[in-house]
Amino acid sequence: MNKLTVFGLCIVGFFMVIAIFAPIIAPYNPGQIDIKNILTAPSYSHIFGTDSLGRDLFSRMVYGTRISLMVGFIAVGIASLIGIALGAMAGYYGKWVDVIIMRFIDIMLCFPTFFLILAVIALLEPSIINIMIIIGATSWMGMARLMRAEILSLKERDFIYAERAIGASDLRIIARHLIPNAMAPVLVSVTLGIAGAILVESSLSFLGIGVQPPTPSWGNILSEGKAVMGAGWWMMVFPGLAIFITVLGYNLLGEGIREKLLKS
Amino acid sequence: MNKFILKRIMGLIFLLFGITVVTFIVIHIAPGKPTDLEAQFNPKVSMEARERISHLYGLDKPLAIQYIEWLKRVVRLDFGISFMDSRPVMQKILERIPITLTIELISIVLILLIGIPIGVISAVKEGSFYDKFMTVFVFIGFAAPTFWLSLILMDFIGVRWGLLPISGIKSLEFEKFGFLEKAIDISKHLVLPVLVSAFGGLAGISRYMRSSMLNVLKQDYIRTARAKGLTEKEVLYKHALKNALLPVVTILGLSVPGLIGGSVIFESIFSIPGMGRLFYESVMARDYPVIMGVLVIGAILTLLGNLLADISYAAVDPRIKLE
Amino acid sequence: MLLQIKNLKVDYGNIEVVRGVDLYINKGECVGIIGESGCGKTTVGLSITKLIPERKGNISSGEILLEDRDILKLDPEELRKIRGKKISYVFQEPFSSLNPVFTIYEQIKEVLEDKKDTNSQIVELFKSVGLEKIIGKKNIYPHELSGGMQQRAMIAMAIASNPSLVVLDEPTTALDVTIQHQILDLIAELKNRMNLSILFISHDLRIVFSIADKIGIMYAGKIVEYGPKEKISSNPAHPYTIGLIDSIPSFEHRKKLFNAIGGRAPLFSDLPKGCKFYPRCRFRIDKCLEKEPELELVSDNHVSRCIRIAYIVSV
Repeated sequence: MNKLTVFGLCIVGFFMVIAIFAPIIAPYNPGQIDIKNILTAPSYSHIFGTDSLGRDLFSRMVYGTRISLMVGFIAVGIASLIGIALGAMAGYYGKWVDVIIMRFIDIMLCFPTFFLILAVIALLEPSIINIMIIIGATSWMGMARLMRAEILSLKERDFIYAERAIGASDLRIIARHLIPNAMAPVLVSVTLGIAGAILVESSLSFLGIGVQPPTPSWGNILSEGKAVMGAGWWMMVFPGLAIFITVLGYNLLGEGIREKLLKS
Repeated sequence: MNKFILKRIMGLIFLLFGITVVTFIVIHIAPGKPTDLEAQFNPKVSMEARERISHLYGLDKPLAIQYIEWLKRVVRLDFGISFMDSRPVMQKILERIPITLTIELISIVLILLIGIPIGVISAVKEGSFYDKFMTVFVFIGFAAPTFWLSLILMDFIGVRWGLLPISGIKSLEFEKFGFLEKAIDISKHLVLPVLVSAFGGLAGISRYMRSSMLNVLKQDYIRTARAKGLTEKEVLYKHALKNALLPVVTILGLSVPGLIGGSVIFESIFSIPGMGRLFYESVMARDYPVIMGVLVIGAILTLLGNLLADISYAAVDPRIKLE
Repeated sequence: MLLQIKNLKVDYGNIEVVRGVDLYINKGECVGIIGESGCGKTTVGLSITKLIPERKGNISSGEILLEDRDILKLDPEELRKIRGKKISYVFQEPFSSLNPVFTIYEQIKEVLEDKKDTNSQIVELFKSVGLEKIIGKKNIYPHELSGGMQQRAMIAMAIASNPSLVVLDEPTTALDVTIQHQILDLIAELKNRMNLSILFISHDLRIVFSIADKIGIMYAGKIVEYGPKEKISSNPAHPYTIGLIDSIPSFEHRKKLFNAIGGRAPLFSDLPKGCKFYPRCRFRIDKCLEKEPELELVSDNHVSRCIRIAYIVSV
């Protein structure tokens, strides 16, 4: 394995551990307001400093990790389900099914994704669940195209003809044989997709239409940081770094998997 | 030639139709009617707004009829009237488009001017220290969130060091300036937004350019060019580069929606009165006519970008004839 | 002597694919190299002007003397002046060997030394390679030509600066059979008219017999038999050559005795001990495994890398 890939894997693992053990790792309750310690710089008792309500920034960021990763995973999970299902159908059935699905993808790709996400958020309330659904529902198109291309090349193989000859159902062929064989490239796009979803979530939260305070997320902490710009650099530097490093980790891992696949 | 254009136009009309359908469905399928939300979030204008929207969408009529009536007006680029200031939506959008497009165009030019050489040199010196350094730079570029970058730049260059303005596109005393001063003033305001908007794209294009060039360098015609006794410069920067550049045209077309979408972020951070900020404000105020209008116009701009890319590709690649 | 290749060794990574090749080409002579794909013949051709892909291939030893100057010792700039001017190439796939985004005119113009009046020079070239059809059509791109015409354009490019040597690497393999003959006729005609020296690389014995004066047969990175065409065809002295000749349907008299060669060419990463042809050889004896044979004289100018020459020739 490439050094960069290992580095990516370490980053991904590190943040997973933080997310899972958040209650153990966080020294304070992330919602605990302390008006005596407003916007204190990083110190021994508050290693990342405190925010404008005196809450411990480190603890808020540890809990924010949970939110960011959860949004990333579930949003990409939703996108994968839609993308794999539609892509497999388009590739397997071809003809009008393919035409309809591909045209629909073309239409979806015309919209600046971020616009589409904002428009839907305008209608729904910006809860975490809604955000995960919206990000998932607007980012499946690449996955579907990839799946379709894989299925198209796989379905002409001998083993698929053999399955058909023994009378296997379409669903069985798609679910048992085609999709598992086409998963490798999808894995790359899932890994990169998590990075993308984390970026989108933090952008939304930063703009105030994502995860809503007091629930901490890296994006909305940054948003609070913008409000106190010049008075608390730690509010801006740490959450930004967390997003940056996490996204970097998933990107490195995704590229590593891609290279590995290209070689084999 | 005519057949090609006709086919393209038919495709475009279909896509435009699809865009309006999706936009319409997005707004109408969500739980709760726009009127309810409007009333809920903006009680002050609730009654008036309710009537106005009901009238606008004909909410009492079946969905299909509502769509057709809306479409009839959209075809004439009539998106109705904004809730916020009662001005025609199209007029508001048209005021904002030039600002967004100017910033996007400058960043695209910047992306190309810097990204292409970075990628080409990486490919030519594959595996060198320079190549590895640039690979790291590219990963950083992909991972750095635009809004964070904007904040850091604002904080340091704007607030701490006071080198550049960080808000809007012109100073308060703009009207008093002479022509040259006005140009300088606007340029100064645009530096940070353009930088931020170009940064992410830079990583993408340079990475793409690198792999495109690497792929071309493996081709038989490069061996032919060397066998012909051409200088290494001619081989790389004439024979290889022209082939490697072709797909970039398509990539540029494909990156339009991302750039337009990204405008929301940096335009709201830098308070730039462009389309992105208009959209953001409309979303915050739940100004549906504007939201629908910007969605449709944004998608149309993407379509135009793709069309332009297709036409340019056909123009630069001799293998594709317009017949 | 125009070109002398002495003890050429080339490796890709750590795998040696050309394991000591000697080859001589006289002025006006056509030397053919025959071998199965992957025997190293293309690598020999490319090595002559160091065209092996950098970072992948490496010429580890040997001399390539063009009129007594060692090409392998030239600096890149001197080497560049030889490429296309003194030694030119025609490759197997004309379509992928021509740059798709430049016109044929432009691509030929690049090789002309005399940059004055390039048009009339190109017209002359087109006439001599049978491309009269596109004379004056300056906007024609490679994809607008048929495979045969593309290869004619490649040949025009190769002869444009009156080279001392033209390396033809499977120039007809990618073409239809009828077109193959036209191109071979063109090459033969140009050779006579311009007194060209040619290195003709091919896997097809019949084609090489029809055009070459001398023939080298390559197997697993070495020449296993070398001699004038007449001697090779009437009196082959290496089991591999015999096998190749037997696989040609028209040589009926030999087919009665032997069949085509069985088995596969060995991998360079896993070469057999002793004679590399041993596993596929009909004449093998245990002694063949002891060491790889040297080239031995069969008759004047005719050598073979086999310890059983006497027996084979007598059969």
